[in-house]
Amino acid sequence: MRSIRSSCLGLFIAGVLTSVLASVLTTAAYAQECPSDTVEVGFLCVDRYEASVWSQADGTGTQFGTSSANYPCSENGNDCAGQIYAASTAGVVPSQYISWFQAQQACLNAGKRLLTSAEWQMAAAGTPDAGDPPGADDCNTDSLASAPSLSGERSDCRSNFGAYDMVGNVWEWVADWIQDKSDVDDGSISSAAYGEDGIFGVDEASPTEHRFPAAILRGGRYTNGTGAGVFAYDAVVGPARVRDLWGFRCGRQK
Amino acid sequence: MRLRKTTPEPKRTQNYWRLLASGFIVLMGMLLVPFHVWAIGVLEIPPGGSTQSGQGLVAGWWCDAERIEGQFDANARFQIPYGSDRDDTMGACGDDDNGFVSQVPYSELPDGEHTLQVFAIAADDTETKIGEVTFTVVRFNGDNFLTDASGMFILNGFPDPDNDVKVMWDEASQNFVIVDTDADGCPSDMTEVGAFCVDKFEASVWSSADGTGAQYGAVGDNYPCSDNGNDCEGQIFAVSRTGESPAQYITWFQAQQACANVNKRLLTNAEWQGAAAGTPDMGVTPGAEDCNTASAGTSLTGTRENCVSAWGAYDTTGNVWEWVADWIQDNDDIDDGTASTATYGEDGIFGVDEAEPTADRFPAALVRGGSFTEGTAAGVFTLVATVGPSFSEETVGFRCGRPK
Repeated sequence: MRSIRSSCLGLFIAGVLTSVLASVLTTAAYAQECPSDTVEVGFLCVDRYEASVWSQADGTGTQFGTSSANYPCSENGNDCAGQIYAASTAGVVPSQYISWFQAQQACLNAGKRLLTSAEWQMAAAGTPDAGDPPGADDCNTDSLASAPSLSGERSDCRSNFGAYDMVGNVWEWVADWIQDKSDVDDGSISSAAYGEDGIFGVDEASPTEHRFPAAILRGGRYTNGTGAGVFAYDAVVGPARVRDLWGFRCGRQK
Repeated sequence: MRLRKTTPEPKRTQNYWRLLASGFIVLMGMLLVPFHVWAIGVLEIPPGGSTQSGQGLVAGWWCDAERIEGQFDANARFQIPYGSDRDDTMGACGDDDNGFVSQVPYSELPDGEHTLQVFAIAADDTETKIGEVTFTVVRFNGDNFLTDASGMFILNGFPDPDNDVKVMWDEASQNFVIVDTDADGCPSDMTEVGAFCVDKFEASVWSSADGTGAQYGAVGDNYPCSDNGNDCEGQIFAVSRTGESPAQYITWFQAQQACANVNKRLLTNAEWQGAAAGTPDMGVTPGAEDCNTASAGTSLTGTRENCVSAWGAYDTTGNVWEWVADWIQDNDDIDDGTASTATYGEDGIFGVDEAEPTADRFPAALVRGGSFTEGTAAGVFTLVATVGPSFSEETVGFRCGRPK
């Protein structure tokens, strides 16, 4: 009898402790804090660092796009589901040579998405402009640089919200497409190189499958010098294009 | 919360003694029979008749042995570590250090059926067969260790129809591991794309939110509210359901309200692009299960089973054009540059298409994917920026989505 009564008491205490713990955990869940690899910007969690792209969802395995366009899926992104994963990690070479389509799938595979241009603008606010040449801790906008810096290593290149490298290093794709007025490339923006999918009402002088609107890049890159900054904006390239200087970052709603 | 006072229950004492007595009788009975007969345990993994792949386990429990050995087919025996904690065997064995478990690379066995025997060896070297099971091994192309593969996949409808599970390939275990048991928050008529839920099917539009009542836009432009959408609140409801005629003849303004009335919204162009990725392109003459890109009319939603994206969205290519949320400055010269008017008062529009009257200058609202008439021009990269948001015709529909 004694043992039964004491185990009842034990169960009661355990029950109370469990409910206290559960309410603490529930409160934490409702607080909806952003994970530590992201920063809180209004109702968004924005990746703290420019994306690095990996073969595994936890940011391990093979890293892609550090020195060539060696992604294991197409530039039109159509076969990238479950293949490439964006991670927000300090101290790595940000991934480059990536198309908008690939960048978007890399975010989705990680349960995130590309930021819109407006969201990017919010998160970048406060990042100081760097001179040319910039100091060692300033944003990497150096017109003489030959490579991007490691993510987050330039400690002064930080926005009011705590996001690193929004200025310089690599251009960052954002979600928006826009009708461009560029005459670079004879106004021809790009093709997804996929069948004969038609595009109408944009850049009508080009062939029908060759008329994507421009996908927007933000922030500038290393080598841009004083042309890089939180207001730098590029609308001359289509979403299927790839270059060494183009990267991205992801985010999601809290 | 307060602990409720309990009244003494004399019966419990009685049960306690009855339990002790019956335990004593069982114990006495066991002492009367030889040791090896009442030595008990079971081989639990792999279950007989199961299929095994990658790295796996041989496991179970046995009350009393010096060591445990296993044997696949007629191969050499191997020792299985023995003595791990199994609290659940306390009742049967009187102690709890009865577990045996060994990691086994099943993928090193050839494809096909195999037998496993497990033996308990006593101190005097007498042995008892704990169990013998037959199971089947499957491997990737006969590989004993798959490398350079990765991927994350959604298993729809597990463990119940409204839940999805996300699994990821794990090279070390040569198997899939569950990374999200509630992958998540997307109901069964939607599919998860990143942190967003996208309707699996092109919208059909109804007079009730549950997709009952009158259906609109299936055979003609019979919506009960205006093309400019201004009076559509609570009137038209978008539903994602397989086997329905998708809504047609709908304007961007109406489509947006039909989504809003079911607490969803139109996808942005970027969200639509992400959800459509992987939908296969169709040839000049698509088959009956391919996307509907070359026919005289719409097919029922979700009935063309090859027309599905890598993310589980049906009919993003062909069937009906799908409005997305974005408006864009067009440079179309088809309609003399006219995108459209909302035909509502004299609301001015400035900075777009300045050659037209101020009320007639909407930017183009994007439609994506092509319809049943586009042939090879339909596809996941197809985009039209020539029509304004009050345009409607037979080939134009939509789908909705929302954040998780």
